[in-house]
Amino acid sequence: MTGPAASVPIPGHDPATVLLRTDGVTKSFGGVHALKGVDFELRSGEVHALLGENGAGKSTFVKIISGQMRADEGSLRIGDRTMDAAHQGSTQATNDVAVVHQELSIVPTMTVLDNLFLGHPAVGFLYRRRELRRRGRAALDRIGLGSLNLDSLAGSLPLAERQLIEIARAVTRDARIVILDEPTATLSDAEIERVFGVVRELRARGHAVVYISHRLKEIFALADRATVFRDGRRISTEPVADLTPDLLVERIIGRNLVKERSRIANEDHAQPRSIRLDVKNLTCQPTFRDVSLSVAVGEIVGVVGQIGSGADDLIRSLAGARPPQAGSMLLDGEQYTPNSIRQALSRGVSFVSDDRAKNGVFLDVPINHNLTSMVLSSVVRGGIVRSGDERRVGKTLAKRFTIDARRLRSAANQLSGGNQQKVSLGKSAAMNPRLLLLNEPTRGVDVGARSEIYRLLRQLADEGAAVLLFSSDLAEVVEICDRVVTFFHGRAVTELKGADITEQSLLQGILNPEEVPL
Amino acid sequence: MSALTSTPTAETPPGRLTAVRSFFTDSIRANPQGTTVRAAAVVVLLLGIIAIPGFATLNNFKGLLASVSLIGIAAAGMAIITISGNFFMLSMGATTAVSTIVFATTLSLGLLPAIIITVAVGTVVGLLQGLVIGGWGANPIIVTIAAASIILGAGELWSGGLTIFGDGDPSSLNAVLFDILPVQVLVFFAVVILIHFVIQKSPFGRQIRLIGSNRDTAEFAGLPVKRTVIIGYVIAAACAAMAGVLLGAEFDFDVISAVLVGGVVVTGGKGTVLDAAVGAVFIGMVGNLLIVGGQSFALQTVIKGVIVIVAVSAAALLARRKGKR
Repeated sequence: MTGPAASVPIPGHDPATVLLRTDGVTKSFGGVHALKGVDFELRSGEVHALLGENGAGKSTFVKIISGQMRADEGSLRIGDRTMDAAHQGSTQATNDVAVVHQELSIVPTMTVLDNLFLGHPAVGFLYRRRELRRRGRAALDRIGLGSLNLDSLAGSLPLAERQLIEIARAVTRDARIVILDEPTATLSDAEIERVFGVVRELRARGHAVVYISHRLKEIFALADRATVFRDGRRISTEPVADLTPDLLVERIIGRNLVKERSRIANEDHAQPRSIRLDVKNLTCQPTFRDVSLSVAVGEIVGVVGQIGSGADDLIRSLAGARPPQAGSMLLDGEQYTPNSIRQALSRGVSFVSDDRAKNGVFLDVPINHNLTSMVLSSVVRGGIVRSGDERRVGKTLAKRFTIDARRLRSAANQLSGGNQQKVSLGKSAAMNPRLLLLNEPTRGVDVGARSEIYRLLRQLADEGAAVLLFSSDLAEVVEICDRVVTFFHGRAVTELKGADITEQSLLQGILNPEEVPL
Repeated sequence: MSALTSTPTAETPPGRLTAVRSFFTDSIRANPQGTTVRAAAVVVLLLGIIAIPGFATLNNFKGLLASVSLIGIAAAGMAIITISGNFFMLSMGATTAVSTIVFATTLSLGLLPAIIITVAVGTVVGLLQGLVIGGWGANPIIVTIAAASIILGAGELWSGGLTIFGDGDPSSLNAVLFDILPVQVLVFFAVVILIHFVIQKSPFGRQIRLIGSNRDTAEFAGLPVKRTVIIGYVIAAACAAMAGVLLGAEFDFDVISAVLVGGVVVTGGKGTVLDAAVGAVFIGMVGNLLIVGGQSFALQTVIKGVIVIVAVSAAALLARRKGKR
């Protein structure tokens, strides 16, 4: 199948053709540099991997080259059009550059065809269905999706195919540059292989593909060149053939970063303490399988992994939010099978969620009402909430969790993100839980509040709680965890202890670079 | 119940004083709209006294208070639903209307049994809606609209579509104390004070407010969300039934107006039962002024609608300004 007349031929299959180039692109947010003088070049017919830790500047860079954001300085050339900083961020760029995000922009209640041409410039006032069908069919055929039915409802398709429709949408627009932002994070191996097939097809047709992924084996299986970002700078751009997984990990975290750990983690945990939580062969399809781990009294254990690794889902399951299907859990040696958060709480298992605005804090409610919300009975006498008691309990909790006691009567949304997080933590810890579970304990929290939260967690552990947390911030995990279990693709892969916990070892555990490439 | 009415322990008289003070300052700070409506009510009252002849008569005040009472009692119940984040109970008017029929047919058993039966029937009606909404998570607006249809239809089936003439004596309900306070008004005051107290001071009330503020957080905090919402519907429907005992009428919009104008925030968590009661007085007073001033009923409904829109948009603007700050 060849493309219809409507599709503009892609210029130059010659791999030397530069489709996109940036010179000295710089961007800062509120005085903090997100990007510093980035020079970058993308060629026709290449798959170019973009790597870097969270916050390294990848997503800001993608926004600038796709026209969603304007740089402070530097120029951007797409094809033969050069845009200095003042002219970027226009829709001009978006016709040439298509971004496929992790969060899909597929409308589940519309057909494949309608999704392909959603907001397409060729769709005018009238919807010329027959013409669009032809072009849609051609686009699907071109990237090897000929089997897909144009009239299926997008919502009825598996996740992978929805992702592929999104890529096909880029093709219908003749976007020469396709950016894939962690396209495989939530996919199974077989599905990943289909995405790879489409990416290779795009490459063969002379498109340039920017591929963002944290999975090293995918980079080695697919990419021609790899560019690494760190702290807003482009660190390196090399042919993948010249790289090894170890070399790449080193580029990502920086060779000097096996840094002196300012650990407050307990080093005297050599002697065994009683096991608080004992998990054996726990399975919760489709997120994690056959996970075994334990947490002792006084211990802070971390689970880490990429998006879709199942590590964060394990926390949710233990909290009663998503009951597992198989395996056993013991809490202080007794059977523990929570079917709801309420049941978990009744067993002394408390959960601090990662989304405090959505389900962590009562934002428009006074801070002390937040703090007492889970221990309400302690301020009730004779069926009445005693405001005197409540103030006293609130003050005690505020002091313990380093919240300004004078602000107890203000609404929680008056506080900074860091202090809101302390309220969220204080509210859940007020009941003195046996097991404290946390997802992303310091997301969106400034550095100062961060170290306070670390100290609070240590204090809670020292007072006899067992703490189990998920975090995507590896520096944080290194700093606070006594023990870490890394997750990959739904399985617990490695366990690290004490001084073995470094960003390097963690990254290796969650990227699993030793695994044979697909 | 005895716990609610018992005097607070002797050890804390100064605490009680500060509690009273903080009660007022809290309500002003937490609810600028409620405070505004209170001020507006006073302005309208003065305006009526000065400008509208026939407004400031004892008889008119009696009538005004009596009509406000019905809306006020229902609004107290409605406020619970709104504070809990479930918007409005659109079956309240229907419940009130049918409760009148229930009351009239059971009045032959005596006044007190009739009241008890009527309120009990309302309670069951509320419980069923609460189970569907709080227990199964169905949409509160749709369920209560459907319930209104069922309740009205069932009432008509039961009464055979005829006017019911009960053979009992409800006259004590129309009695007037000291020549100025109709019994309805006393019931209104009692219901509002009791429910206000429950919402402000009981653990149940605290939970209603937390759930209304953020239902997800409430569930994550392990609060008994379902049970609390169901009880909220039971109380609200009982209020509607109580209004039906006093006088039947369909008045959903008036009740909603009272709640919104009084400053109970439609998204939940904010506002008090007292606010809703003040809203009822305000709405009733404006309507009364227009009638006494010789304006048509049609104009009255237009003005009520305008007041609600003004109140709601003022609240939205206020919230936006607060957010920007």
